[in-house]
Amino acid sequence: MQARAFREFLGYLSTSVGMALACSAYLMVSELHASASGYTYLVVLLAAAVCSVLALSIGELASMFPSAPGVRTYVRAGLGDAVSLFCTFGVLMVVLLFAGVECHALLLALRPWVDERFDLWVVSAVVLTITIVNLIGLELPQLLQVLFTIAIVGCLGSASLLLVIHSPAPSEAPPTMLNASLAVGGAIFLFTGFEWVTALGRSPKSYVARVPWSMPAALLVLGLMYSLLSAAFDRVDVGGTRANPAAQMAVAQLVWGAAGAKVMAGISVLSLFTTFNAGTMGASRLVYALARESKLPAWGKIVSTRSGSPIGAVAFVGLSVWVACLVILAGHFERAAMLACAALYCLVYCGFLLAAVRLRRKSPELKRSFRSPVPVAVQAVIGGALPFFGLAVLVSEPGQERAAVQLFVIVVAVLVAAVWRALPQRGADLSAAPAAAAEGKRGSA
Amino acid sequence: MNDLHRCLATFQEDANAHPRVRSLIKGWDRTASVVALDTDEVFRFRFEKGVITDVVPDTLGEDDDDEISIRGTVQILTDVFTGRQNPATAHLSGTLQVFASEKDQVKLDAITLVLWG
Repeated sequence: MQARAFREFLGYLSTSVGMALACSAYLMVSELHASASGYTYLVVLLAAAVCSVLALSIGELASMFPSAPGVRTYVRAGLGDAVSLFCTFGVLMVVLLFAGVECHALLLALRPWVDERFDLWVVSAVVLTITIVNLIGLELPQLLQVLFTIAIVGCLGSASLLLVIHSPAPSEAPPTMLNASLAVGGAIFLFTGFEWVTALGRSPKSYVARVPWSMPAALLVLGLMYSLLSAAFDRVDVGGTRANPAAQMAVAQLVWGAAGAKVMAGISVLSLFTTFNAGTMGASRLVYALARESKLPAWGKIVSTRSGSPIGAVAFVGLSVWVACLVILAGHFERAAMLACAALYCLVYCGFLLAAVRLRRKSPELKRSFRSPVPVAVQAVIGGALPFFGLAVLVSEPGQERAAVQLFVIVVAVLVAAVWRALPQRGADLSAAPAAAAEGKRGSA
Repeated sequence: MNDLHRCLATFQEDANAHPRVRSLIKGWDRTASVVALDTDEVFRFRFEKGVITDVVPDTLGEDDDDEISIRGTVQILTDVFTGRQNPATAHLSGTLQVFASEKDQVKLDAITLVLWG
């Protein structure tokens, strides 16, 4: 029984790690390096600690609403329909922006072998493949997912560790407090997606400990891996010159030479496919669920009677992702999109944390099979700080502030319009928190 | 036969009589349990060879690990299995718990979508 439970826990752990592993994270490591050169690994560990507090709160929410689709359910119960819709549409928007950044990061990794002329074809092929896989309803076997995750973490971790052991640390002045705090918001971006595991629990018992603890455990693995990569990158890009935007490629090249670079390119492709596939699958399920709620048009709920796949939602997500990739790559908005994604996700995470804090006060009687050991005051302080981390990350990269802020403002405006349209009483106060959502849940736990 | 059992049996008959539902569940063999959280009643059935087998009352064991488990209060389950309540809305609000793979969850929802729109 214990072995079975442990295997189940490992499944959640690898899913949580795998959801957060992305090509664009390597790009972010090199961006962070420009703000906190020589100390990026500390910033990464600090961000992992912040996310761990968040993970425990999300674990508590998951234990209250087992099997529910996280962001929509938890935030609605705690903060109301409007905020929940804002966060849910925000996650969908992140998937679109993120796709463009992912493709850019992949193209950087493949640049030695793929000429710029073929970029459009590579991106189109990737998006088309993932869309077709999801339209058909193919799913990667869990064992293969676990093996992919182990391969990516093992390869990146070992290359970084070897470089850290064999190269002396450069002596650099510590970053200013301002630069370090600007970097934390960006570092949170490295871990985004870890919480998608909450909807995958196999039974109510999974939510007592396995699902909730799999997230902090995943953050520990990711935190160690990214801090090692950051420390290794300190040895490659001394002074934060941004000469090597693809951090993973630079590290592998230095440790293992040309062969290592090829292996790392393969790892990058693997990272992209797993993240892209998970993003498309998760986003299409959200679109489908929102369409079933009549929050999105009816085409979102078209289902294939043969495969049972939500083909309307998958086609919509695939097409939107493709357009977003082309616009972002053609306009060279990759960095601005990455910063906007990081800022937006800080807002979404703020929604999770504040929902957990509010439900502790508002509905203490709701059954929780897992309780976050972090004091509510600490959760509230971190929840309150997250929007500031998000806004700080927008202005963290010299030369990109204007584009990042503009993009963020446009995205928020689109989200507010989408929420306004989806609300039952249009024009309702967006900050309103209908109590009915939580009332309806009292019988569920 | 109590109310919940009766409504599950009606659901089974309606689904088996619907050609699009039969097409949807063709080749999809799964064991499902329906658990009433407020009365501890358990019912089991299978999706097998393109039909839903008879719904039988059962008990919940310690190591039950059905491929699909649907849980909620009797009221919610009755409303969902008679088409009075949208299962997607109930699931999103947290009142209906569905333990299954994401693909199976969509398939289950698709059955209700085909039956009741």
